[in-house]
Amino acid sequence: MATAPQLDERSIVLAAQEGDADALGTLLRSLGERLLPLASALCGGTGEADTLLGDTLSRVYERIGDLREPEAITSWSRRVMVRKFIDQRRWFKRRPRVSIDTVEVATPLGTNAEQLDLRNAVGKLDRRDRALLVLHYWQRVPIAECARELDIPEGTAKSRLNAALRRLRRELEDSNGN
Amino acid sequence: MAIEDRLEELFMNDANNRRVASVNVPQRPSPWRGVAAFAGAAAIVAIALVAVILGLRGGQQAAAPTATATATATAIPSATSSAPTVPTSSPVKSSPPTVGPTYQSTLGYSVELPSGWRRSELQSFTTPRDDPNSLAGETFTTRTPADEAEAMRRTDTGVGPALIYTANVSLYRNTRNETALAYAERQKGMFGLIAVSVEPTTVDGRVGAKTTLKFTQADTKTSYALTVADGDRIWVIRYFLAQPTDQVPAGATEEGLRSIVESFKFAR
Repeated sequence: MATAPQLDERSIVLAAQEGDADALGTLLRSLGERLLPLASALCGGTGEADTLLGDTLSRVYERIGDLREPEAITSWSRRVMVRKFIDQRRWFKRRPRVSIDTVEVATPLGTNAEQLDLRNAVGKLDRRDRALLVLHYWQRVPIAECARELDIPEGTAKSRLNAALRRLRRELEDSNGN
Repeated sequence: MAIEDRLEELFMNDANNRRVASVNVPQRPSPWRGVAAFAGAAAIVAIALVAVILGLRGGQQAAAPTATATATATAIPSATSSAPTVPTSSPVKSSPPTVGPTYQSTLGYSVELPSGWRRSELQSFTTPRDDPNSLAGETFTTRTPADEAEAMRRTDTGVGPALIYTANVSLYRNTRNETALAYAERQKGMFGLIAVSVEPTTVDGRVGAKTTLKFTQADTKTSYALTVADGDRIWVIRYFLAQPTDQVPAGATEEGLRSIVESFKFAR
């Protein structure tokens, strides 16, 4: 029972790779729903998440044929998204083939003062550090896997994570002091 | 509450503040489309040949040379013309860099390449790809083709490491008939960087705009992009630096990048 959804998705991915337009549409819609929370967390809940998701799904649309392990579709798509988020060199960004529409949902902590301070502090971090924090502290991705996704050595991932936390604590102390 | 827990709460909050309303997936082009296009082109060629043969038999010899001349002329866009009616979507023949420091592009411009720099075949295109408004782009790098291919392979985004320390000349359709300054101002967000300033400048004697850019607010280094309008097209000449964690390709320097950008000249 537990493996049924995975098998279904595998067959959908295989069908999409063979050119089944319906399967591809189903797959992209399913990925869109699963990946939007990550896009939104990476982008600090801003509208940039829609662009990031659109770019990611466009990449999946274009490169689905290159995926060798259909069952890895989710982790592959996540890696594409994280790298697109980090990659600020979007000058060559092509018009996304897949576009998405989203609706905003009111969240209880949106105006919490402490969270706003933390949000500001996180906003000052390098994108790679922010992605690291999101993957590790929210998605619970182990450090070694984070390192692979970000294409950096594991030791670097650890030291960057520590440095990012130190920077956040300092920023929060400064904002509390003011 | 520990900062790790507060982070989790913050990210969870952000993650839940949007819902997907719809995902719009375009139809994939039919694989038969290419076959049909080829068959159509073959039919046109066949008809033209029949017409030429019939024309020659009838003593009318003008048909064939005219067809050949038209095909050649439309292959190269007029980069120097300022007339807004110049067609821009015609395919442009790709050509290898000229020998010597001056690279004469078939797009209608030239740049001076310092020793060790070359035109990238992998990162250049001379016909519109997915975005019909992005007409062409040529990238200049110091990486070897193998190193460049490896750098491109290492990223799932198709861009990234290979773009580090490259100069680029891009040609866009000026769909709103804007001035260089208006275009640069409107498009400053497209760089995915922080636009520190957009100011008037001259590019090869023409009115242009200079956008100064940096990766993050904390960055002390800046790069820039030059924009110049050319009839119904816009040229953007720029260079890409690296973030502190990126490895700079061998032989690439910021000075070299700037010299390429500054050497941009329209074909006379």
